[in-house]
Amino acid sequence: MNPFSATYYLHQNKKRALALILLVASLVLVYLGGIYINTMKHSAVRSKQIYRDFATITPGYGCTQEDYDSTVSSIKNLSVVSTTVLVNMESYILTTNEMGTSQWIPLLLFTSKEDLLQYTNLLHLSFASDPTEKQLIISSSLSKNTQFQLGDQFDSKSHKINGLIDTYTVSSIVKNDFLFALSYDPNVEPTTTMALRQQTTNTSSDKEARSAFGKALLPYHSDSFVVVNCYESINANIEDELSIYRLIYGVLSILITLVLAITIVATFLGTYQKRNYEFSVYKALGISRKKILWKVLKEVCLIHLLGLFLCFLIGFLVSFFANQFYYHTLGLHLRYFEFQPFLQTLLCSLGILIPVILFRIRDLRKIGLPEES
Amino acid sequence: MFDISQLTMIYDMDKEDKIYAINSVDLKLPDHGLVGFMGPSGSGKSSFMYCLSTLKTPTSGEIQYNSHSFSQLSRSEQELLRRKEFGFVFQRHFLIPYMSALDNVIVAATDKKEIAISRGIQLLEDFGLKKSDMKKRPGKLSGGQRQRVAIARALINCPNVLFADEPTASLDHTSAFVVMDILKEYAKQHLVLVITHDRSILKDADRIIEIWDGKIIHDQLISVGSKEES
Repeated sequence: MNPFSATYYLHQNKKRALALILLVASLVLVYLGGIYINTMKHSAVRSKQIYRDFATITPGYGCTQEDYDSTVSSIKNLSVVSTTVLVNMESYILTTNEMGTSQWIPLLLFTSKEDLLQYTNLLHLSFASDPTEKQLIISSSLSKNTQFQLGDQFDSKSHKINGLIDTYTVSSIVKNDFLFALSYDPNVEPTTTMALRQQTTNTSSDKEARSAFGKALLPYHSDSFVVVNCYESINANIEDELSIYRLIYGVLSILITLVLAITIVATFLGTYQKRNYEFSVYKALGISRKKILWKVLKEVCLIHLLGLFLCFLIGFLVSFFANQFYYHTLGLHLRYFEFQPFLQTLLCSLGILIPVILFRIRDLRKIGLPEES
Repeated sequence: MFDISQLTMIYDMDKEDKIYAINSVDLKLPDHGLVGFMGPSGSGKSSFMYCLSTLKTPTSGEIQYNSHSFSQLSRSEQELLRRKEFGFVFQRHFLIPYMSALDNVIVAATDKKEIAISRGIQLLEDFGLKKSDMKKRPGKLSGGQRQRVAIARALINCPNVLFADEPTASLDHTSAFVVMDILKEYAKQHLVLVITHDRSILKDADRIIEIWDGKIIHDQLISVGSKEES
């Protein structure tokens, strides 16, 4: 190995190099923070996935029956809507999200078997047996998350499902990644009119159908008397809710970067000041100042790149083990990579690297004789 | 080889009491031989050597090396000169602590790596270091071994001029004479300038120059069978 090379210094000073690399790798706090924030968004979006295939029409404050019926009729006549059904959405199931906090998702209680089957056909769901009333059909993801098993019963005293009047039993667990629970009860009081989108022939055309459905219902969001909610309007609310978290994340990222920048710059300065005499020896031996500077910059950049690599590797491993030992057992998933936190981490690392480089350039201009260093 | 005229080096130029490290020195140095510089501390010996080696810029005067004036050389040309034509041995060896002895020798080599390694090994063997010692870091070597490694580093590019500032100051007498033997051998075909307080190590010198308060007060040319003084 060339003794003047950047890799030689790292090879010969493994402990010091490792300490510096680990310091840079502590940017993983920024990366994981961003993953966490983005996971909050994905978690919130994921819990709303069931709204992609229907819109809810609810009377608002000051709404008359005439206004309501007119809106329902108008929406029912849209080409993207197949039919409207009555449903009760007053019951909610307690789930855990990726943040470890509780989240309530609605239990869709249809008033007839036909309405339930229309919805399940829309989702391309199939069952081993014909659904019967007060029998819960839940997704496999929900089953993992809530630990609901086949045969489990829930009534009005249950703390896992609130708003129940009668007793419901889990009869089917359908393989699906989204969180949903369905049932039907002819005696249940409907609370909402649900507009179902047009069914498609296969799952590949569902995306276009959902998009067309959302666009067609957009004009109805602004109606103040009749509340029309679909996936797009709920998603917009999620972004608003998350803005404060993004602000906190942004501030924390800057703070972490500042602290790390000061620590790393001070550590690099201390490390390289001890080597000032080494650089003055190089100068005395006739190695040009430019070459000495390049050597130092290569060392700094190499340490920085290794630190960044370790940062993302640690981030991946934390996510991996968190998934293996916690999230996957609950039917959840922590993402391994998100572009925004990745970019933010890179920007923070530049905020550290640039001062280090500038200080090095400044100090190397003052190289004197070996005796003076 | 060197033609020095009216060389002056002043420290604290902006103060009332200026310090003349070198005071209007005129000197000519040959292209080979062992030249010793003696004088008390602060007499200007090291400043003189640093000016000759382009490590410091004199306040006034001219230094010509092989008819090229230092004042007309750019910084990169001076660096090239130090790299290819000059070698340095400092009072303290100034070896890089995290490099092995061999790596310290070849770090500033201008040849290709394989040739530099081969030459570095040869030099260290000539200076009495074993192969096992060549892989050791300076901290594991004795004072004499370190100084020999420093000399090998200075000679790796076969410089025309070797500057040695108190090369034996931190050595015992035996090691000191070993080092001086190496320098004397090298001086047969190259110019070796040695600064020292110890006259005994200059017993084989071809010329001894005494400096006092930045001026040359004695210049003794020594050759076999005769002595010439100025």
